[in-house]
Amino acid sequence: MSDFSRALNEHDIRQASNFYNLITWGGLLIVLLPVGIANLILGYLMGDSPCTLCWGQRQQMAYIGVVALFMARYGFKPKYLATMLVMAAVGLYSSFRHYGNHAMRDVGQGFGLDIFGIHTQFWAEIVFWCVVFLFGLATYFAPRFDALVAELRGKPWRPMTPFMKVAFGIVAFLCASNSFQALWSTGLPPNWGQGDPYRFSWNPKYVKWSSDSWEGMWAGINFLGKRDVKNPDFAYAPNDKKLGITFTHDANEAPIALTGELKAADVRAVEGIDAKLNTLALIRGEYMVASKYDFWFLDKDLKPAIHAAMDPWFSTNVLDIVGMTPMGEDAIVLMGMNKSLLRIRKNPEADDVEGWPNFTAGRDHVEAVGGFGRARIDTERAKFSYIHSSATDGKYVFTATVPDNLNHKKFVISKALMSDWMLSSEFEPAAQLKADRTLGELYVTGLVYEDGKLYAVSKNFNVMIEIDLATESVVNAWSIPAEFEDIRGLAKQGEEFAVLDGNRIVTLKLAK
Amino acid sequence: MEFVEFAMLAAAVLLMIFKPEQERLAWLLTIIGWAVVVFMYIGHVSTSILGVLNI
Repeated sequence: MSDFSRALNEHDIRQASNFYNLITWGGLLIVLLPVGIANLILGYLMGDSPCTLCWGQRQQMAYIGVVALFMARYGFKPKYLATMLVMAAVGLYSSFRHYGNHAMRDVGQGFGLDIFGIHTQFWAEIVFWCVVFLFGLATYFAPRFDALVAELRGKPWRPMTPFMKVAFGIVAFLCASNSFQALWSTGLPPNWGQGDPYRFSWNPKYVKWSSDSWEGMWAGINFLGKRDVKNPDFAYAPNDKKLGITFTHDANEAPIALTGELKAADVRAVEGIDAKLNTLALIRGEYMVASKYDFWFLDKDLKPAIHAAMDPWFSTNVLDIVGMTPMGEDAIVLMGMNKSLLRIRKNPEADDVEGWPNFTAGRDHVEAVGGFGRARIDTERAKFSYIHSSATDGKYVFTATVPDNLNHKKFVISKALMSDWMLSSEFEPAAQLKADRTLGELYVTGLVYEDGKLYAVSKNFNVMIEIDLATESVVNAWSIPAEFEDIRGLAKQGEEFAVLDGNRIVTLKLAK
Repeated sequence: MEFVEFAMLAAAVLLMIFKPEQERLAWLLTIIGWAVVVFMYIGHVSTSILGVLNI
Protein backbone atom coordinates (compact mmCIF):
# COMPACT_ATOMS: atom_id res chain seq x y z
CA MET A 1 0.00 0.00 0.00
CA SER A 2 1.14 3.51 -0.77
CA ASP A 3 2.52 5.44 2.19
CA PHE A 4 1.97 9.08 1.31
CA SER A 5 3.82 10.21 4.45
CA ARG A 6 7.07 8.91 2.97
CA ALA A 7 9.03 11.37 0.83
CA LEU A 8 9.22 10.57 -2.88
CA ASN A 9 12.49 9.27 -4.25
CA GLU A 10 13.93 8.62 -7.71
CA HIS A 11 12.70 5.03 -7.64
CA ASP A 12 9.12 6.32 -7.39
CA ILE A 13 9.73 8.68 -10.31
CA ARG A 14 11.15 5.84 -12.43
CA GLN A 15 8.12 3.72 -11.62
CA ALA A 16 5.92 6.61 -12.71
CA SER A 17 7.81 6.89 -16.00
CA ASN A 18 7.37 3.16 -16.56
CA PHE A 19 3.68 3.49 -15.83
CA TYR A 20 3.36 6.27 -18.40
CA ASN A 21 5.17 4.08 -20.92
CA LEU A 22 2.70 1.33 -20.17
CA ILE A 23 -0.22 3.69 -20.75
CA THR A 24 1.38 4.81 -24.02
CA TRP A 25 1.65 1.16 -25.06
CA GLY A 26 -2.03 0.72 -24.25
CA GLY A 27 -3.05 3.74 -26.31
CA LEU A 28 -0.85 2.63 -29.18
CA LEU A 29 -2.01 -0.98 -29.21
CA ILE A 30 -5.72 -0.25 -29.13
CA VAL A 31 -5.31 1.99 -32.16
CA LEU A 32 -2.68 -0.15 -33.88
CA LEU A 33 -4.34 -3.54 -33.51
CA PRO A 34 -8.14 -3.39 -33.81
CA VAL A 35 -8.38 0.03 -35.47
CA GLY A 36 -5.25 -0.29 -37.57
CA ILE A 37 -5.90 -3.85 -38.73
CA ALA A 38 -9.49 -2.95 -39.57
CA ASN A 39 -8.31 0.04 -41.57
CA LEU A 40 -5.18 -1.17 -43.33
CA ILE A 41 -5.66 -4.92 -43.70
CA LEU A 42 -9.40 -5.54 -43.65
CA GLY A 43 -10.18 -2.25 -45.36
CA TYR A 44 -7.52 -1.46 -47.95
CA LEU A 45 -6.27 -5.01 -48.59
CA MET A 46 -9.39 -7.14 -48.16
CA GLY A 47 -12.03 -4.64 -49.21
CA ASP A 48 -14.01 -4.62 -45.98
CA SER A 49 -16.15 -1.56 -45.46
CA PRO A 50 -17.64 -0.94 -42.02
CA CYS A 51 -21.37 -0.55 -41.52
CA THR A 52 -22.87 2.38 -39.60
CA LEU A 53 -22.51 0.74 -36.21
CA CYS A 54 -19.07 -0.77 -37.00
CA TRP A 55 -17.77 2.70 -37.77
CA GLY A 56 -19.13 3.93 -34.46
CA GLN A 57 -17.35 1.21 -32.51
CA ARG A 58 -14.11 1.60 -34.41
CA GLN A 59 -14.16 5.31 -33.66
CA GLN A 60 -14.80 4.72 -29.98
CA MET A 61 -11.77 2.42 -29.78
CA ALA A 62 -9.64 5.12 -31.34
CA TYR A 63 -10.94 7.75 -28.90
CA ILE A 64 -10.00 5.55 -25.94
CA GLY A 65 -6.51 5.10 -27.35
CA VAL A 66 -6.10 8.84 -27.78
CA VAL A 67 -7.30 9.53 -24.23
CA ALA A 68 -4.57 7.15 -23.05
CA LEU A 69 -2.09 9.30 -24.97
CA PHE A 70 -3.45 12.38 -23.23
CA MET A 71 -2.50 10.70 -19.95
CA ALA A 72 0.94 9.93 -21.23
CA ARG A 73 1.44 13.49 -22.46
CA TYR A 74 -0.22 15.57 -19.74
CA GLY A 75 -0.10 13.31 -16.72
CA PHE A 76 -2.52 11.06 -14.91
CA LYS A 77 -5.43 13.49 -14.49
CA PRO A 78 -8.75 12.42 -12.96
CA LYS A 79 -10.69 13.73 -15.96
CA TYR A 80 -8.70 11.47 -18.29
CA LEU A 81 -9.31 8.49 -16.06
CA ALA A 82 -13.02 9.34 -15.83
CA THR A 83 -13.29 9.86 -19.57
CA MET A 84 -11.65 6.54 -20.32
CA LEU A 85 -14.06 4.71 -18.01
CA VAL A 86 -17.07 6.46 -19.54
CA MET A 87 -15.81 5.79 -23.06
CA ALA A 88 -15.21 2.12 -22.27
CA ALA A 89 -18.70 1.84 -20.77
CA VAL A 90 -20.29 3.42 -23.84
CA GLY A 91 -18.13 1.21 -26.05
CA LEU A 92 -19.29 -1.89 -24.22
CA TYR A 93 -22.88 -0.78 -24.65
CA SER A 94 -22.35 0.00 -28.34
CA SER A 95 -20.85 -3.37 -29.13
CA PHE A 96 -23.47 -5.17 -27.03
CA ARG A 97 -26.17 -3.37 -29.00
CA HIS A 98 -24.56 -4.32 -32.29
CA TYR A 99 -23.81 -7.87 -31.22
CA GLY A 100 -27.47 -8.22 -30.24
CA ASN A 101 -28.54 -7.74 -33.84
CA HIS A 102 -26.73 -10.93 -34.82
CA ALA A 103 -26.39 -12.93 -31.61
CA MET A 104 -29.20 -15.40 -32.29
CA ARG A 105 -28.17 -16.33 -35.82
CA ASP A 106 -27.28 -19.87 -36.90
CA VAL A 107 -23.72 -21.11 -36.86
CA GLY A 108 -21.55 -19.51 -39.51
CA GLN A 109 -23.95 -16.64 -40.07
CA GLY A 110 -22.80 -13.16 -39.22
CA PHE A 111 -22.07 -9.73 -40.56
CA GLY A 112 -18.89 -9.08 -42.46
CA LEU A 113 -15.58 -10.80 -41.90
CA ASP A 114 -14.78 -13.11 -39.06
CA ILE A 115 -11.44 -13.64 -37.37
CA PHE A 116 -10.88 -16.88 -35.40
CA GLY A 117 -14.59 -17.53 -35.87
CA ILE A 118 -15.56 -14.26 -34.20
CA HIS A 119 -17.29 -11.56 -36.21
CA THR A 120 -16.35 -7.91 -36.03
CA GLN A 121 -19.34 -6.93 -33.92
CA PHE A 122 -18.15 -9.26 -31.16
CA TRP A 123 -14.48 -8.33 -31.50
CA ALA A 124 -15.51 -4.83 -30.48
CA GLU A 125 -17.01 -6.28 -27.31
CA ILE A 126 -13.72 -8.08 -26.60
CA VAL A 127 -11.69 -4.93 -27.21
CA PHE A 128 -13.74 -2.87 -24.77
CA TRP A 129 -13.55 -5.66 -22.19
CA CYS A 130 -9.79 -5.63 -22.62
CA VAL A 131 -9.69 -1.87 -22.12
CA VAL A 132 -11.43 -2.16 -18.77
CA PHE A 133 -9.50 -5.23 -17.67
CA LEU A 134 -6.01 -4.24 -18.78
CA PHE A 135 -6.32 -0.60 -17.78
CA GLY A 136 -7.62 -1.72 -14.41
CA LEU A 137 -4.70 -4.13 -14.09
CA ALA A 138 -2.16 -1.49 -15.09
CA THR A 139 -3.61 1.00 -12.63
CA TYR A 140 -3.56 -1.60 -9.86
CA PHE A 141 0.19 -1.84 -10.27
CA ALA A 142 0.61 1.91 -10.71
CA PRO A 143 3.04 3.73 -8.41
CA ARG A 144 1.78 6.12 -5.77
CA PHE A 145 -0.34 8.88 -7.24
CA ASP A 146 1.88 11.78 -6.16
CA ALA A 147 4.75 10.13 -8.04
CA LEU A 148 2.67 10.31 -11.22
CA VAL A 149 2.34 14.07 -10.64
CA ALA A 150 5.95 14.58 -9.57
CA GLU A 151 7.17 12.80 -12.69
CA LEU A 152 6.07 15.86 -14.70
CA ARG A 153 8.72 17.79 -12.72
CA GLY A 154 6.60 20.89 -12.44
CA LYS A 155 5.88 21.16 -16.16
CA PRO A 156 2.40 21.11 -17.76
CA TRP A 157 3.29 18.24 -20.09
CA ARG A 158 5.81 15.45 -20.32
CA PRO A 159 8.54 15.63 -22.96
CA MET A 160 8.23 13.34 -25.95
CA THR A 161 10.57 10.37 -25.59
CA PRO A 162 11.58 8.53 -28.78
CA PHE A 163 9.08 5.81 -27.95
CA MET A 164 6.33 8.38 -27.45
CA LYS A 165 7.18 10.00 -30.79
CA VAL A 166 6.81 6.67 -32.55
CA ALA A 167 3.61 5.78 -30.68
CA PHE A 168 1.98 9.18 -31.13
CA GLY A 169 3.07 9.23 -34.78
CA ILE A 170 1.51 5.84 -35.49
CA VAL A 171 -1.73 6.83 -33.77
CA ALA A 172 -1.89 10.11 -35.71
CA PHE A 173 -1.23 8.26 -38.97
CA LEU A 174 -3.92 5.66 -38.29
CA CYS A 175 -6.47 8.30 -37.31
CA ALA A 176 -5.68 10.17 -40.53
CA SER A 177 -5.81 6.94 -42.53
CA ASN A 178 -9.19 6.06 -41.07
CA SER A 179 -10.32 9.57 -41.85
CA PHE A 180 -9.23 9.02 -45.43
CA GLN A 181 -10.97 5.66 -45.65
CA ALA A 182 -14.14 7.26 -44.30
CA LEU A 183 -13.86 10.11 -46.77
CA TRP A 184 -13.28 7.75 -49.69
CA SER A 185 -15.92 5.15 -48.85
CA THR A 186 -18.64 7.04 -46.98
CA GLY A 187 -18.08 10.56 -48.23
CA LEU A 188 -18.33 14.11 -47.04
CA PRO A 189 -21.03 15.06 -44.51
CA PRO A 190 -23.94 14.61 -44.43
CA ASN A 191 -23.03 11.22 -45.91
CA TRP A 192 -21.95 8.60 -43.43
CA GLY A 193 -21.64 4.87 -42.88
CA GLN A 194 -24.19 2.64 -44.56
CA GLY A 195 -26.23 -0.13 -42.96
CA ASP A 196 -25.19 -2.57 -45.68
CA PRO A 197 -21.94 -1.06 -46.95
CA TYR A 198 -20.39 -1.46 -50.37
CA ARG A 199 -17.10 -3.38 -50.57
CA PHE A 200 -14.16 -0.98 -50.36
CA SER A 201 -12.67 -0.22 -53.73
CA TRP A 202 -10.05 2.17 -55.06
CA ASN A 203 -12.11 2.41 -58.23
CA PRO A 204 -14.48 5.41 -57.86
CA LYS A 205 -17.02 3.54 -59.99
CA TYR A 206 -17.66 1.24 -57.03
CA VAL A 207 -17.78 3.93 -54.37
CA LYS A 208 -21.22 4.81 -53.04
CA TRP A 209 -21.87 7.75 -50.73
CA SER A 210 -25.15 7.78 -48.86
CA SER A 211 -26.92 9.77 -46.21
CA ASP A 212 -29.65 7.15 -45.73
CA SER A 213 -28.51 6.40 -42.20
CA TRP A 214 -29.94 9.75 -41.10
CA GLU A 215 -33.41 8.30 -41.69
CA GLY A 216 -35.00 7.32 -38.42
CA MET A 217 -32.35 9.15 -36.42
CA TRP A 218 -33.84 9.87 -32.99
CA ALA A 219 -37.24 8.85 -34.37
CA GLY A 220 -38.26 7.97 -30.83
CA ILE A 221 -36.77 6.67 -27.62
CA ASN A 222 -37.59 3.14 -26.58
CA PHE A 223 -35.36 0.81 -24.62
CA LEU A 224 -37.05 -2.52 -25.41
CA GLY A 225 -37.93 -1.88 -29.06
CA LYS A 226 -39.63 -4.96 -30.54
CA ARG A 227 -39.78 -6.51 -27.09
CA ASP A 228 -41.87 -3.70 -25.65
CA VAL A 229 -44.95 -5.89 -25.99
CA LYS A 230 -47.71 -5.26 -23.47
CA ASN A 231 -49.35 -8.14 -21.67
CA PRO A 232 -52.31 -9.83 -23.34
CA ASP A 233 -55.85 -9.06 -22.33
CA PHE A 234 -56.92 -11.40 -19.54
CA ALA A 235 -60.27 -11.93 -17.89
CA TYR A 236 -58.71 -10.86 -14.60
CA ALA A 237 -56.61 -8.06 -16.15
CA PRO A 238 -58.22 -6.34 -19.15
CA ASN A 239 -55.57 -4.59 -21.18
CA ASP A 240 -57.35 -3.37 -24.27
CA LYS A 241 -56.28 0.25 -23.83
CA LYS A 242 -52.55 -0.47 -23.66
CA LEU A 243 -52.87 -2.93 -26.51
CA GLY A 244 -54.73 -0.38 -28.61
CA ILE A 245 -57.52 -2.85 -29.29
CA THR A 246 -61.23 -2.05 -29.19
CA PHE A 247 -63.04 -5.33 -28.76
CA THR A 248 -66.24 -5.71 -30.67
CA HIS A 249 -68.56 -8.69 -30.51
CA ASP A 250 -70.45 -8.36 -33.77
CA ALA A 251 -69.29 -11.20 -35.98
CA ASN A 252 -70.41 -9.35 -39.09
CA GLU A 253 -67.52 -6.95 -38.51
CA ALA A 254 -64.95 -9.76 -38.54
CA PRO A 255 -62.17 -9.56 -41.14
CA ILE A 256 -63.31 -12.82 -42.68
CA ALA A 257 -66.56 -13.77 -44.38
CA LEU A 258 -68.78 -15.99 -42.27
CA THR A 259 -69.74 -19.46 -43.44
CA GLY A 260 -72.08 -20.40 -40.61
CA GLU A 261 -73.42 -19.65 -37.22
CA LEU A 262 -72.87 -21.14 -33.77
CA LYS A 263 -75.80 -20.99 -31.38
CA ALA A 264 -75.69 -21.27 -27.62
CA ALA A 265 -77.11 -24.61 -26.58
CA ASP A 266 -76.39 -24.38 -22.89
CA VAL A 267 -74.92 -21.99 -20.34
CA ARG A 268 -73.75 -23.29 -16.96
CA ALA A 269 -72.03 -21.37 -14.21
CA VAL A 270 -68.79 -22.61 -12.67
CA GLU A 271 -69.41 -22.56 -8.97
CA GLY A 272 -67.11 -22.21 -6.04
CA ILE A 273 -64.36 -20.23 -7.76
CA ASP A 274 -64.10 -16.51 -7.07
CA ALA A 275 -61.16 -15.83 -9.39
CA LYS A 276 -61.99 -14.62 -12.88
CA LEU A 277 -61.42 -17.64 -15.09
CA ASN A 278 -59.33 -17.10 -18.17
CA THR A 279 -59.17 -20.40 -20.02
CA LEU A 280 -60.90 -23.73 -20.36
CA ALA A 281 -60.03 -27.21 -21.62
CA LEU A 282 -61.62 -30.61 -21.72
CA ILE A 283 -59.04 -33.25 -20.93
CA ARG A 284 -59.88 -36.94 -20.66
CA GLY A 285 -63.54 -36.08 -20.16
CA GLU A 286 -62.86 -33.60 -17.38
CA TYR A 287 -63.09 -29.81 -17.56
CA MET A 288 -60.09 -27.80 -16.45
CA VAL A 289 -60.13 -24.05 -15.91
CA ALA A 290 -57.36 -21.64 -15.04
CA SER A 291 -56.90 -18.09 -13.82
CA LYS A 292 -53.38 -16.62 -13.94
CA TYR A 293 -51.30 -19.21 -12.06
CA ASP A 294 -54.21 -21.11 -10.45
CA PHE A 295 -55.88 -24.08 -12.08
CA TRP A 296 -58.78 -26.30 -11.19
CA PHE A 297 -60.15 -29.68 -12.22
CA LEU A 298 -63.95 -29.49 -12.20
CA ASP A 299 -66.40 -32.24 -11.32
CA LYS A 300 -69.52 -32.98 -13.34
CA ASP A 301 -71.40 -30.23 -11.48
CA LEU A 302 -68.71 -27.74 -12.55
CA LYS A 303 -67.48 -27.39 -9.01
CA PRO A 304 -63.76 -27.53 -8.21
CA ALA A 305 -62.56 -31.05 -7.46
CA ILE A 306 -58.88 -30.20 -7.26
CA HIS A 307 -57.17 -26.84 -7.02
CA ALA A 308 -53.49 -26.11 -7.42
CA ALA A 309 -51.30 -23.17 -8.35
CA MET A 310 -47.93 -23.07 -10.04
CA ASP A 311 -45.02 -20.90 -9.05
CA PRO A 312 -44.40 -18.85 -12.20
CA TRP A 313 -40.84 -17.84 -11.39
CA PHE A 314 -39.14 -21.02 -10.36
CA SER A 315 -36.53 -22.01 -12.96
CA THR A 316 -38.03 -21.46 -16.43
CA ASN A 317 -40.59 -18.71 -15.92
CA VAL A 318 -44.06 -19.82 -16.94
CA LEU A 319 -46.29 -16.76 -17.06
CA ASP A 320 -50.07 -16.65 -16.98
CA ILE A 321 -51.70 -19.97 -17.97
CA VAL A 322 -53.40 -19.62 -21.36
CA GLY A 323 -53.78 -23.23 -22.43
CA MET A 324 -54.01 -26.73 -21.01
CA THR A 325 -53.47 -29.76 -23.22
CA PRO A 326 -53.12 -33.50 -22.61
CA MET A 327 -49.76 -35.21 -22.94
CA GLY A 328 -49.15 -38.95 -22.90
CA GLU A 329 -51.39 -41.10 -20.75
CA ASP A 330 -51.89 -38.94 -17.73
CA ALA A 331 -49.93 -35.70 -18.03
CA ILE A 332 -51.16 -32.21 -18.80
CA VAL A 333 -49.24 -29.30 -20.25
CA LEU A 334 -49.91 -25.93 -18.67
CA MET A 335 -48.96 -23.41 -21.33
CA GLY A 336 -47.93 -19.91 -20.28
CA MET A 337 -48.55 -16.78 -22.32
CA ASN A 338 -44.78 -16.66 -22.94
CA LYS A 339 -44.72 -20.08 -24.63
CA SER A 340 -43.11 -21.63 -21.58
CA LEU A 341 -44.80 -24.56 -19.97
CA LEU A 342 -45.10 -26.81 -16.97
CA ARG A 343 -46.00 -30.51 -17.28
CA ILE A 344 -48.12 -31.81 -14.46
CA ARG A 345 -50.23 -34.78 -13.50
CA LYS A 346 -52.76 -35.48 -10.85
CA ASN A 347 -51.48 -37.65 -8.03
CA PRO A 348 -53.39 -37.97 -4.76
CA GLU A 349 -50.15 -39.11 -3.15
CA ALA A 350 -48.00 -36.30 -4.52
CA ASP A 351 -45.01 -35.41 -2.38
CA ASP A 352 -45.42 -32.00 -0.75
CA VAL A 353 -41.66 -31.41 -0.52
CA GLU A 354 -40.98 -32.50 -4.10
CA GLY A 355 -43.69 -30.19 -5.30
CA TRP A 356 -42.56 -27.19 -3.25
CA PRO A 357 -40.49 -25.50 -5.97
CA ASN A 358 -43.17 -25.83 -8.66
CA PHE A 359 -46.45 -25.31 -6.84
CA THR A 360 -47.65 -22.72 -4.39
CA ALA A 361 -50.86 -24.67 -3.72
CA GLY A 362 -52.19 -28.17 -4.26
CA ARG A 363 -48.91 -30.01 -3.80
CA ASP A 364 -50.74 -32.96 -2.27
CA HIS A 365 -52.80 -33.44 -5.45
CA VAL A 366 -50.55 -32.59 -8.38
CA GLU A 367 -46.92 -33.14 -9.27
CA ALA A 368 -44.53 -32.12 -12.02
CA VAL A 369 -43.79 -34.56 -14.83
CA GLY A 370 -40.35 -35.07 -16.36
CA GLY A 371 -37.93 -33.75 -13.75
CA PHE A 372 -38.77 -30.16 -12.96
CA GLY A 373 -41.45 -30.35 -15.60
CA ARG A 374 -40.62 -27.08 -17.27
CA ALA A 375 -39.72 -26.27 -20.84
CA ARG A 376 -39.98 -23.44 -23.30
CA ILE A 377 -40.68 -23.17 -27.00
CA ASP A 378 -38.55 -20.82 -29.08
CA THR A 379 -40.42 -19.57 -32.10
CA GLU A 380 -39.38 -17.46 -35.09
CA ARG A 381 -42.34 -15.65 -36.61
CA ALA A 382 -44.03 -15.48 -33.22
CA LYS A 383 -40.89 -14.45 -31.32
CA PHE A 384 -42.22 -11.01 -30.44
CA SER A 385 -45.80 -12.07 -29.75
CA TYR A 386 -47.59 -13.51 -26.77
CA ILE A 387 -50.10 -16.32 -27.07
CA HIS A 388 -53.46 -16.91 -25.43
CA SER A 389 -54.17 -20.50 -26.42
CA SER A 390 -52.69 -23.91 -27.13
CA ALA A 391 -53.83 -27.21 -28.61
CA THR A 392 -52.33 -30.62 -29.31
CA ASP A 393 -52.70 -33.56 -31.66
CA GLY A 394 -50.85 -35.81 -29.21
CA LYS A 395 -47.48 -35.37 -30.87
CA TYR A 396 -47.21 -31.64 -31.45
CA VAL A 397 -48.41 -28.62 -29.52
CA PHE A 398 -49.90 -25.69 -31.44
CA THR A 399 -50.03 -22.08 -30.35
CA ALA A 400 -51.67 -19.00 -31.85
CA THR A 401 -50.44 -15.43 -31.44
CA VAL A 402 -52.57 -12.56 -30.22
CA PRO A 403 -52.23 -9.01 -31.51
CA ASP A 404 -50.59 -6.44 -29.27
CA ASN A 405 -49.56 -2.81 -29.06
CA LEU A 406 -46.89 -3.33 -31.76
CA ASN A 407 -48.63 -5.83 -34.01
CA HIS A 408 -52.21 -5.65 -35.14
CA LYS A 409 -51.82 -7.59 -38.36
CA LYS A 410 -49.85 -10.78 -37.98
CA PHE A 411 -51.47 -14.06 -36.92
CA VAL A 412 -49.07 -16.95 -36.54
CA ILE A 413 -49.69 -20.59 -35.79
CA SER A 414 -46.60 -22.28 -34.33
CA LYS A 415 -46.14 -26.04 -34.04
CA ALA A 416 -43.61 -27.65 -31.71
CA LEU A 417 -42.72 -31.29 -31.13
CA MET A 418 -43.69 -32.26 -27.60
CA SER A 419 -40.84 -34.74 -27.20
CA ASP A 420 -38.21 -31.99 -27.33
CA TRP A 421 -40.26 -28.77 -27.41
CA MET A 422 -38.45 -27.60 -30.52
CA LEU A 423 -40.24 -25.61 -33.18
CA SER A 424 -41.35 -27.76 -36.09
CA SER A 425 -43.17 -25.29 -38.30
CA GLU A 426 -44.95 -21.99 -38.39
CA PHE A 427 -47.41 -20.44 -40.77
CA GLU A 428 -49.75 -17.53 -41.23
CA PRO A 429 -53.03 -19.06 -42.40
CA ALA A 430 -54.42 -18.05 -45.75
CA ALA A 431 -58.03 -16.87 -45.71
CA GLN A 432 -60.70 -15.23 -47.82
CA LEU A 433 -60.42 -11.85 -46.14
CA LYS A 434 -62.47 -8.73 -46.60
CA ALA A 435 -60.69 -5.82 -48.29
CA ASP A 436 -57.76 -4.38 -46.31
CA ARG A 437 -58.36 -6.73 -43.39
CA THR A 438 -56.06 -9.27 -41.73
CA LEU A 439 -56.44 -12.32 -39.53
CA GLY A 440 -54.26 -10.47 -37.05
CA GLU A 441 -57.35 -8.55 -36.01
CA LEU A 442 -58.69 -11.68 -34.36
CA TYR A 443 -57.94 -12.16 -30.69
CA VAL A 444 -57.68 -15.93 -30.39
CA THR A 445 -58.27 -16.96 -26.81
CA GLY A 446 -58.97 -20.65 -27.33
CA LEU A 447 -57.61 -23.37 -29.59
CA VAL A 448 -58.42 -27.03 -30.06
CA TYR A 449 -57.25 -29.72 -32.51
CA GLU A 450 -59.32 -32.44 -34.16
CA ASP A 451 -58.78 -34.54 -37.29
CA GLY A 452 -56.23 -32.32 -39.00
CA LYS A 453 -58.09 -29.11 -38.18
CA LEU A 454 -57.44 -26.39 -35.65
CA TYR A 455 -60.44 -24.59 -34.25
CA ALA A 456 -59.66 -21.12 -32.95
CA VAL A 457 -62.10 -18.92 -31.09
CA SER A 458 -61.67 -15.14 -31.07
CA LYS A 459 -62.84 -12.82 -28.34
CA ASN A 460 -62.74 -10.02 -30.86
CA PHE A 461 -65.65 -10.18 -33.33
CA ASN A 462 -67.02 -13.31 -31.60
CA VAL A 463 -65.99 -15.73 -34.32
CA MET A 464 -64.58 -19.21 -34.50
CA ILE A 465 -62.41 -20.20 -37.42
CA GLU A 466 -61.53 -23.64 -38.68
CA ILE A 467 -57.97 -23.97 -40.00
CA ASP A 468 -57.02 -26.85 -42.26
CA LEU A 469 -53.47 -27.76 -41.27
CA ALA A 470 -52.77 -29.51 -44.58
CA THR A 471 -53.51 -26.41 -46.65
CA GLU A 472 -52.65 -23.91 -43.89
CA SER A 473 -55.83 -22.03 -44.67
CA VAL A 474 -59.05 -21.01 -43.00
CA VAL A 475 -61.87 -23.15 -44.37
CA ASN A 476 -64.74 -21.99 -42.16
CA ALA A 477 -65.69 -19.04 -39.99
CA TRP A 478 -68.69 -19.17 -37.71
CA SER A 479 -70.31 -16.44 -35.72
CA ILE A 480 -70.89 -16.66 -31.97
CA PRO A 481 -73.75 -14.72 -30.35
CA ALA A 482 -72.74 -11.17 -29.47
CA GLU A 483 -74.19 -11.48 -25.97
CA PHE A 484 -71.02 -13.33 -24.92
CA GLU A 485 -68.52 -10.54 -24.43
CA ASP A 486 -65.47 -12.26 -22.96
CA ILE A 487 -65.02 -15.57 -24.74
CA ARG A 488 -61.99 -17.54 -23.63
CA GLY A 489 -60.75 -21.12 -23.83
CA LEU A 490 -62.13 -23.79 -26.12
CA ALA A 491 -63.14 -27.43 -25.90
CA LYS A 492 -64.70 -29.69 -28.49
CA GLN A 493 -66.76 -32.79 -27.92
CA GLY A 494 -68.41 -34.30 -30.96
CA GLU A 495 -70.32 -31.53 -32.71
CA GLU A 496 -70.35 -29.28 -29.67
CA PHE A 497 -67.92 -26.61 -28.62
CA ALA A 498 -67.53 -25.16 -25.16
CA VAL A 499 -66.08 -21.77 -24.26
CA LEU A 500 -65.80 -19.68 -21.12
CA ASP A 501 -67.65 -16.41 -20.85
CA GLY A 502 -67.19 -14.84 -17.47
CA ASN A 503 -67.22 -17.79 -15.11
CA ARG A 504 -69.77 -19.63 -17.23
CA ILE A 505 -69.26 -22.52 -19.62
CA VAL A 506 -71.18 -21.90 -22.82
CA THR A 507 -71.95 -24.84 -25.08
CA LEU A 508 -72.12 -23.91 -28.74
CA LYS A 509 -73.63 -25.84 -31.65
CA LEU A 510 -73.60 -25.19 -35.35
CA ALA A 511 -76.96 -23.89 -36.48
CA LYS A 512 -78.47 -26.09 -39.19
CA MET B 1 -19.41 12.10 -40.91
CA GLU B 2 -16.82 9.54 -39.86
CA PHE B 3 -14.33 11.44 -42.00
CA VAL B 4 -14.81 14.59 -39.92
CA GLU B 5 -14.70 12.78 -36.61
CA PHE B 6 -11.51 10.88 -37.42
CA ALA B 7 -9.98 14.06 -38.83
CA MET B 8 -10.71 15.83 -35.55
CA LEU B 9 -9.06 12.98 -33.67
CA ALA B 10 -6.00 13.04 -35.89
CA ALA B 11 -5.76 16.80 -35.35
CA ALA B 12 -5.93 16.27 -31.59
CA VAL B 13 -3.00 13.84 -31.69
CA LEU B 14 -0.97 16.17 -33.89
CA LEU B 15 -1.61 19.00 -31.45
CA MET B 16 -0.38 16.82 -28.61
CA ILE B 17 2.80 16.10 -30.55
CA PHE B 18 3.62 19.51 -31.96
CA LYS B 19 1.62 22.02 -29.89
CA PRO B 20 1.35 20.52 -26.43
CA GLU B 21 0.43 23.90 -25.02
CA GLN B 22 -2.88 23.50 -26.92
CA GLU B 23 -4.05 20.80 -24.54
CA ARG B 24 -7.48 22.39 -24.14
CA LEU B 25 -8.10 22.55 -27.90
CA ALA B 26 -6.87 18.98 -28.39
CA TRP B 27 -9.11 17.82 -25.57
CA LEU B 28 -12.14 19.65 -26.98
CA LEU B 29 -11.57 18.11 -30.40
CA THR B 30 -11.48 14.69 -28.78
CA ILE B 31 -14.48 15.09 -26.51
CA ILE B 32 -16.68 16.84 -29.06
CA GLY B 33 -15.84 14.26 -31.71
CA TRP B 34 -16.61 11.42 -29.34
CA ALA B 35 -19.87 13.07 -28.24
CA VAL B 36 -20.95 13.38 -31.88
CA VAL B 37 -20.14 9.70 -32.47
CA VAL B 38 -22.18 8.63 -29.46
CA PHE B 39 -25.04 11.00 -30.28
CA MET B 40 -25.27 9.56 -33.78
CA TYR B 41 -24.83 5.96 -32.63
CA ILE B 42 -27.58 6.09 -30.02
CA GLY B 43 -29.76 8.22 -32.29
CA HIS B 44 -29.40 5.52 -34.92
CA VAL B 45 -30.76 2.86 -32.53
CA SER B 46 -32.96 5.10 -30.38
CA THR B 47 -36.18 3.21 -31.12
CA SER B 48 -34.62 0.05 -29.68
CA ILE B 49 -31.81 1.13 -27.38
CA LEU B 50 -31.22 -2.32 -25.94
CA GLY B 51 -31.74 -4.17 -29.21
CA VAL B 52 -33.61 -7.38 -29.85
CA LEU B 53 -31.84 -9.71 -27.44
CA ASN B 54 -33.90 -11.27 -24.68
CA ILE B 55 -32.75 -9.40 -21.60
